[in-house]
Amino acid sequence: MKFEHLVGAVVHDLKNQLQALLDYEQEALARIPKRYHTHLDPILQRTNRLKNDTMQMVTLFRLEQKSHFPMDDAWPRDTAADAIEATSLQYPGIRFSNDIGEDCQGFYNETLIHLALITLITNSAQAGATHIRLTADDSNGLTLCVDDNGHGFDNAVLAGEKDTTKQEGSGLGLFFVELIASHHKQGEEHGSIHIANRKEGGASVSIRLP
Amino acid sequence: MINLELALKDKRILVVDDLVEARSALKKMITILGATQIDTATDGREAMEFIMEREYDIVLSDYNLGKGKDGQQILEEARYCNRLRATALFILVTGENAVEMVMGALEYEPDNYITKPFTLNMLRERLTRILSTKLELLQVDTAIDLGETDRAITLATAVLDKNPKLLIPVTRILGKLYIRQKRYNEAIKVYSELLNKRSVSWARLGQAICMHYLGDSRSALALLKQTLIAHPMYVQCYDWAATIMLSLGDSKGAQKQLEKAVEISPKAVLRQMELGKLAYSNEDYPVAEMAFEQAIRLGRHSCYKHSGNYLQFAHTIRHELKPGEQSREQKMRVEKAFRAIDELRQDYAGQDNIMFETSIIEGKTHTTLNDEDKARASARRAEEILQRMTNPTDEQQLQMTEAYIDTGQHVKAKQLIRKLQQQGMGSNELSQLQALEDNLNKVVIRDHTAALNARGVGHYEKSEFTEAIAAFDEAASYEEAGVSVLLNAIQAKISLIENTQIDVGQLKDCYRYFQRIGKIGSNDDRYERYERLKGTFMRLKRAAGL
Repeated sequence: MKFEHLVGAVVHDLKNQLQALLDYEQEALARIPKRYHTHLDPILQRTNRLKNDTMQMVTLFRLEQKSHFPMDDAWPRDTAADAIEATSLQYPGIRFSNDIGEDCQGFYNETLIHLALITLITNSAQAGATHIRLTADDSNGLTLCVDDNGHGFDNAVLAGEKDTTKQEGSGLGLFFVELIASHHKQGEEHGSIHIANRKEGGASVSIRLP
Repeated sequence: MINLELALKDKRILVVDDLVEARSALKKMITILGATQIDTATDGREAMEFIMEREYDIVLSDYNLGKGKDGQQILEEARYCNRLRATALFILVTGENAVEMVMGALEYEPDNYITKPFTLNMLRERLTRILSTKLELLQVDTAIDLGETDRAITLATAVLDKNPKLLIPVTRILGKLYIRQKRYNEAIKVYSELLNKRSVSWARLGQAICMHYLGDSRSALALLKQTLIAHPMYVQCYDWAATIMLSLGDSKGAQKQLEKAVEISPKAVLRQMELGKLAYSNEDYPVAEMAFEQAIRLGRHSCYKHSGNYLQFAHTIRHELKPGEQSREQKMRVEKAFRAIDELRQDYAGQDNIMFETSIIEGKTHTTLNDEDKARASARRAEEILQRMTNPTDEQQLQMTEAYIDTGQHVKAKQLIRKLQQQGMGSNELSQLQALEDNLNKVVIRDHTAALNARGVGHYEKSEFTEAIAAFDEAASYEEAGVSVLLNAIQAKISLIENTQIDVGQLKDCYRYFQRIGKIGSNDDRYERYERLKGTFMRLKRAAGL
């Protein structure tokens, strides 16, 4: 067996184990009195974080292996709500606005876009955001937008000279989102991402799918 | 959008999952969401029992159900048995890895799927979307359930005009309906319109199928191959590639495609049956054996259970048996064949057609194993059944004829052949009959020459050379006479000359027999004998001054 396949299998199992752990923790939380929750919450948050990270790794691995992620009808409002649900546990201080219309429709792989949104939300949270707003427009392809009120991108990142604003960041986050976007194709057209700083302060990342 | 709680309240729902935690979690979730009438099943068998017994509005099944059937097969079986209305929903719950397999199905596709893992909120959103779409299509589905295809097409087109966001689900329905009505050009058109906007593989498969039906099988095949490059796990493409290759006369290539499909998705009974039949006709018996064995095993407790699988399995094994071999494989094969035959006798007793063929294949197997008594007993059983049939088919009578020949009942064989000749039959059956008659004649002559030869040998051993020569000559008068008979005749003639006097007539006979034998290789068992007789013959010829 090739080393990379071994790694792939291990990470895959790790993801499943973490999902199970998360389920047990939530079950436990539901059974114990509220006043003890503060003791369990940090564990739940860490587990959630680890699960999201391993999901990212599994997906990166499969994207790397040129796996096929089929696309289908999908509803950005639901996908955004799922991403918010998956991250809000970790960032109870952040206020989320899901301003995507109920009828807004997309054609994408829901698992991938879900992960892309989680990655962007995590980035925003790490940039000190306290408010994250998600919007979408399906008039021409689909554009999904994540706006925050954090410290925004460095000019070097905006100019494409650097990959990350974070002191110790790897730039993997945006790279991952870009990979996911470009996996979505229609004819010759690939998806792409666009980053900017908002006039009012904070970052704005949009994913454009053909 | 619909109110999920209200929508679920009066729906009868079946939840299928092999894992107890997952099953009860899902049941709990849909109860919270408003469902009130829920049944749960742990595997495909139990699910099918429920589905056969009750009419469900929604089936929520996990894709992977452990050892037995998977969710896709429950769906196929339920549709195959007409136990799922078009207005009912079948939703597969699946891991991300299997989504591709689930979505690709064109003929037996689930209404929708839910990817694991999901939270209560995710399930709520997903079900709301699925039920809302289904509601928009309610009239279309109702028309389909009533068998009003034309009306369903009109309604579906109207739904799409009103709500372009339903392009994907409506195209799925429209394409299928057009194909059902053999309106292939229209089907291709709706698929193309979808593909211009959305790259979905099943629409490409649909186009390929239509192209094939319109007569352009090569383009269809090219399109399938192209789709398979992007989608190597798209199992239905292999199925269709096999069908199309077969129509182009490439049965070996078709078998290869089906083998790939079976490798990806080994649990589908119908596919295993197809592979078995194809491999059998390609005389690839090991593959056929495996496929029929799987078809039997997978179909045993389902509506796909079919006597043909058992019969063909036994036929396949018969071809693989080697007379006189004592290997373990052979023993196991024989056991399997007779087990299939036993199962046929148990499960299809009283059905003359099936019982007849069961006895025929049983007899053939015994014949191959040189078990003459048992072969005759089986032939007798077949004979009894045939006699009480009011209208036996030509094929059955041909099979009986063959059984008579195999078991040395030449008179009966001849009688049946005569009867069939008088009745008259189709050209295909007639040529089979001709082949049987030729075979019978050959067998009869072989038996006759064998008897003459034996008589000759008897005389020869008592040094009654003239009588021996008469018998051998008669045996040799048949062109089917073998080398041994001819050598016996030569030896008898030489012995007569050596014991009496030169006889030019006999020597000329010997010369003719040697001509008939032709060359014999030095590896042949009879080589030495042939050389010895040839030497003596040459000496006698010289002595005769010839």
